[in-house]
Amino acid sequence: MLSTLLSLPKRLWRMSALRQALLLTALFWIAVIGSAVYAVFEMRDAIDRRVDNRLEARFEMIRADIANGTFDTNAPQYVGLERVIYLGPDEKDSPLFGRRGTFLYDDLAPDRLFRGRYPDEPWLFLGGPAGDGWLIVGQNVGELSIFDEVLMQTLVGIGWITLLVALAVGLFLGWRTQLRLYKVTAVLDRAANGDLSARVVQDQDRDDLDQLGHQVNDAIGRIAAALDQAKGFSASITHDLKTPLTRLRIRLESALMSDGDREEEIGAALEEVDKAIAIFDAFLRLSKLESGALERRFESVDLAALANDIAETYGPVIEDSGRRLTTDISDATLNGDPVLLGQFLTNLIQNALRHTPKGTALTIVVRKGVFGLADNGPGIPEDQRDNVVKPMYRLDRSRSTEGAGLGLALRHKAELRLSEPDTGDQGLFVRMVWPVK
Amino acid sequence: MRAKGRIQTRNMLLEKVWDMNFDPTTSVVETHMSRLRSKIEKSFGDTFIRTIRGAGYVVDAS
Repeated sequence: MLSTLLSLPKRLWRMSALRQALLLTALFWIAVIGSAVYAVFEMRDAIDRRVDNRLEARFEMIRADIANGTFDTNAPQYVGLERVIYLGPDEKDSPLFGRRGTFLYDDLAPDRLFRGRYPDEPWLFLGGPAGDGWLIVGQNVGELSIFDEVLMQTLVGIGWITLLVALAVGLFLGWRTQLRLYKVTAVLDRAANGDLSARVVQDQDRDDLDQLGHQVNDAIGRIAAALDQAKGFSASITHDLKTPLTRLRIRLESALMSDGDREEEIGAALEEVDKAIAIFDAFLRLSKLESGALERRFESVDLAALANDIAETYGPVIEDSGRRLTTDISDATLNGDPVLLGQFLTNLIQNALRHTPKGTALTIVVRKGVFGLADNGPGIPEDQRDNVVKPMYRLDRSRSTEGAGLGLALRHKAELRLSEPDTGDQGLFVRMVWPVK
Repeated sequence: MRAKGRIQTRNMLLEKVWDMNFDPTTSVVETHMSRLRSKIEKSFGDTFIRTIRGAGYVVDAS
């Protein structure tokens, strides 16, 4: 309990927003106090000068009066807040005679000016020669000290008020920021502990903290998506491999048990092995492609020749399946891997054979900047087009046929585009496009 | 003709004939084989290319 209490200041100091608020408050307070002190000194200086000027003006006036003979030099004058003493030439032995400039009352003989007692308030005197003698004029400067007192009190008051207000506002704002930061860190904690549904709750976009929240949300969302994809990926592998391996087992079992035609069973088993190997190959290609390992083999590829070869190879296959193949091929080259580019087109053909009804017309399209396959089949709904290019995604989600999903993930370093055919018919036009100089 | 009597696998045929070193899942080899077979066997009236299930094809020596 005590140790938590003792570590509290340290913990508070570690909260950046609070610390900033405290530092700013301290700086603000120092600035206020500094300017207040400066103001006091300036003001005192100005008032002092005013008092001095007043005293000097009065001194000059009385000296003029003495010169004119209109001043009674015999009696000291104690009028209100002013004291005037004239020391004649016969009083040269007085300690005040010859006293020049301004001085305070302490040095005066008390009996002459204040009738035997010291004044409660401060007085300021100015001494100087006048006529044959010496003139001393004094003024009560009690207002000055009162002013000083009031000013100091006001300053101290202002100091306390600003300190309290700045501290309160600073701590409040700092604490609020701190709480908002805690919201983000709490969400990050939850995400780190595996809860990828954690999101920073906010509905506005006022400042960088809100933005931080959005970014944290985005990052967690992307991680969750990537994780989902990886999960789906391994589920696909498992599922795709299970069927041929199960069948392989059944084939081998019946080959073991059968007395008759073992060759037939072994052949069928070999077919299942081939299917499993093909699936492995597809996954290997996919991971190689995604790691960029294949890019080193890139060269300038004549797409027209490549497409014509494939049309020749696949023409009979497409015809036998009850569909038609036409070509729309003109000159085009692309820097790439000829094997992968061929695979891209054959994958599109195989997808079309698998997902379009009999009677569909397929068209291989090669133009500058375009390489792909169009068909007039049922097409793909627009909202699902993004999904079919994800690895292992299957439009119908059924797993009735084997294979590695739509296989469209085997895409090249160009942009993959799906749309209706540009002839305006219904159907699907899948192609890679790249910028042409 | 050079490979008389030996099993030619689908992959070997794909590589030698079509220069494809990946395995298309559709029946490219089967389609072309059946066409080839129908052309040859129509004129000779004899089983010339034999299918070995799961492995490939053999040109029978005769």
